Amino acid sequence: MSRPFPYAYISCPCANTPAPDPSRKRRSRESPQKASPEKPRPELQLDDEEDEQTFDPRAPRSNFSLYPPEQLLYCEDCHQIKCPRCITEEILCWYCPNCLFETPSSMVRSEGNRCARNCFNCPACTAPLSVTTLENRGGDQSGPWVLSCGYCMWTTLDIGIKFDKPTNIRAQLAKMTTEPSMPAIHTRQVSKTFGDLKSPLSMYSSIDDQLPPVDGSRPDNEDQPSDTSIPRTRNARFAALKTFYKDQVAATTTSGVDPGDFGASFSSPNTLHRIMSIYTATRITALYGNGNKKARNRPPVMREAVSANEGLALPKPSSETAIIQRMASDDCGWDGLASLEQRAFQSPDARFVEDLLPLPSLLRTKRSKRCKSCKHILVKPEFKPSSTRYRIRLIALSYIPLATMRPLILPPTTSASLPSLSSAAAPNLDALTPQRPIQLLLTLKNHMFDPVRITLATPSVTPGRVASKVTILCPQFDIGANSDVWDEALQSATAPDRSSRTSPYEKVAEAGKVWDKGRNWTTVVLEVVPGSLPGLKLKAYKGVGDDDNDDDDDDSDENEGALDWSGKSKDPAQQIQPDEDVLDIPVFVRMEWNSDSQIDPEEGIGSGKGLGGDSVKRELAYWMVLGVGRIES
Amino acid sequence: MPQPNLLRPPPHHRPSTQSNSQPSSGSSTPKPAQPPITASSSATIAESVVFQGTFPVTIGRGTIIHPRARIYSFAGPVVIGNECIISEKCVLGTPPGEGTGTVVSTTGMAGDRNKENQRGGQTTGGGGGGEEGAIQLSSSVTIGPMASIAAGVTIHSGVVVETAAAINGNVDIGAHSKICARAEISAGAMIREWTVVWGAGKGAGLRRRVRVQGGKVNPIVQSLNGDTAAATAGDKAEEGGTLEGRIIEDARLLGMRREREALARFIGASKGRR
Repeated sequence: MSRPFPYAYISCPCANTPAPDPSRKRRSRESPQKASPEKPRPELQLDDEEDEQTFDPRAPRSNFSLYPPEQLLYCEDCHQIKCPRCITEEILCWYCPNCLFETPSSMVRSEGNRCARNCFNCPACTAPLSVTTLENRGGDQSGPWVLSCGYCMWTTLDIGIKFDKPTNIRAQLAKMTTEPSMPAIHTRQVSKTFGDLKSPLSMYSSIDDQLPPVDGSRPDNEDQPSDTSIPRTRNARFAALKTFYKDQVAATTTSGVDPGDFGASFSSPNTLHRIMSIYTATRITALYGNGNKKARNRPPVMREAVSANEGLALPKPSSETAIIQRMASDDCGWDGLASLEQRAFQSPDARFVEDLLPLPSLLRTKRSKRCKSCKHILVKPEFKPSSTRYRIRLIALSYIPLATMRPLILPPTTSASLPSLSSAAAPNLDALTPQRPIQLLLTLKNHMFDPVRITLATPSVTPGRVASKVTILCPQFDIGANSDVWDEALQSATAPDRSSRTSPYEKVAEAGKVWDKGRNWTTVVLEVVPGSLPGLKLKAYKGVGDDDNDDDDDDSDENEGALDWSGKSKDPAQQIQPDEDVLDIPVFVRMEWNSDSQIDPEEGIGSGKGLGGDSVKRELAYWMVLGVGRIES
Repeated sequence: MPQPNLLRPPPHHRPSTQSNSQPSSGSSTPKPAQPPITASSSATIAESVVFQGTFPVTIGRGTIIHPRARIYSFAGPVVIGNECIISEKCVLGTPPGEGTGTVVSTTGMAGDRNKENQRGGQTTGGGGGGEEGAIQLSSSVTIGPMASIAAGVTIHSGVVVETAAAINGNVDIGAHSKICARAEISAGAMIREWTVVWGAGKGAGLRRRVRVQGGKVNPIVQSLNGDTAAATAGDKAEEGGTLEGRIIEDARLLGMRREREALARFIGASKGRR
């Protein structure tokens, strides 16, 4: 509830009617078989009770169902408001926010969700980097190129990297920071290991190289280590370790699983069977003792990586002290150390600012949204990343009236002292005086092309410990259709009585009468008497009753039900809970309209409700919470 | 210094000595003290720049001062070097009524300010603030919009102070440094040359970085490419490595010069003079 007062939130009905999940369906299928006469009935009764209940804006559950109206969608098939919890999202496309180029999702899966082109973020401050030349003498753009940050002036010169070309920087960077290419004999294996390297964990590696010659470390056999292929970078070591353990798994498994296809081996039925048999076998062993143990020949023991070309990296004993000395040296200092934020996306070895590498930009997605219950598409953006248009966007505000509020400034007694009095009469919504009535103008603006009849209902006393009295002076009214703007302009020219809006001081709020009305909006008056806060009331009683308990009781009796809580005034629960002083008013909105717009005949035919192209009566009801202000304590 | 007409602003290259708040102050309150201004003829100073104070203000050649900048010389002389850009709504010096070394707040009633102007002028005039509160801007300094620089600050050449940055009293900023937007430098700080102060707010939120000037060799690249690459990189560092970081800075200064020239041309064309 961080919005400024006054605000209006709308409660999505999904909190009361949870989305159909499979377990619930199963239960409902089971229930008629087992306890058909008894079970459904209490559930129904419960539902009825829930419907009858007043929506409590302070209930812990309601926190999750209240949304600002602009965040809600509307499903035309279900005829229901849809909050972010009752929709599903689908990723339409991945694109780089910097260059707006789309990346196919297959490439995202294989190479990670970072831009493969020229887009980089500064490793020091995360601002986007730009490609600049070092040669500013010549007119033609030539010479070495660097990435530079416009904000913190970081350049790749800080880490001693220059590029030969201004294009395809990422490939150049990968070539520089990863292993050099390997002999031609291994190309076949390289392509295979390359694919393996990319597939499952490439999302986690910060510098994703997309050039094939990455991994020069795959040992041909474990017996003969090749001197040329000792992995030096972290990624290469990881790849080497991975290939090594993959070979180990392949060597130790009895069944002939294709060693090259490690990822798929878990999903093959053969392996699945083997995995399952592990558990059943142990269970059998546990049951029948050691008798069966010898029947299973134990697989050969897997060994760990021992040499450097298998990916094992033994840190030098002096490396830690070297790091500490570097930290302690004068030219490093606090500013030379990489911060946690900077290290989050870097190689774990990066300890100093000089170790940071530029980060390719993270990709973004465009998503379409569907209704969870009927799978109807609610939001579908344009496919192209450069376009911000939407093909479909069923936002709730085009179906439900937008509620806005402002305090009604009480009419001054004399017109002469008008400006000073009116400014004095404007209530401060952040500190409402308890028990002092204020009037609010509640405006509902219709965005549909049909006129709507609105019925508002509110409990006369707000739920919760701080009981404020609420009266809607005109609970039932009509709102005009969202017709052509010119119509209103012409209308107002013919009907001069609209000028009453300009001078509201002459008006007095009357019960049963609409305050003001426009083309597609209607304003009614809401009268609120803010309740007293628990702590305040106690103090007041002390003052009045001269520390006499009897007097206290009398007072509480006078104020009837509002003081139910005063009996337990001793316990610490008497203190105001956080945000308990916020005056939230639950309002039940029921809207009725005859939809005879162009869209609806088709819809009516589709749903079988169409009355020969005639208008269809529709209604929609929901709870709304009006945040009026904060009661002064 | 001729007193310009109140209604009609003086020509653009002549420093104006009137403030926006003056007409509202009324005739009863005395006018704030106006400093003696020595401005180069090639400087471009907007009409609505506020100059107040008792100590002299010197403006170097080619400097541009944008509209609604405020320059107060109550605590000491203000020297603005050559080819600087002082952006709009920034505050140089500490306005009277506030202690030196505090961040300048722009809110305040005009009448009050003028009253305090007088008081501040008297105190500084009597006490003789001297060199304590002098503001010195060397050449090619860029001050961003709404930045505030307290009295007693020395800024060396090529420094950029970005939007809404606040520099408190007695700070010394070394050459080619950069104070990023909204950063606040605490009083008495010493910032070495080629340093970037970035981050949010003040204190621990701020980080410093030393910009690279010479060439460096990346250890990863070096280890991967072996001896040959290291040797070539070493050669490069010897022959022109010291220049590499500066080339970028030179390019930035070149861009700044073009901006100034374009602005001077633009104003000259619009005025129909020169």
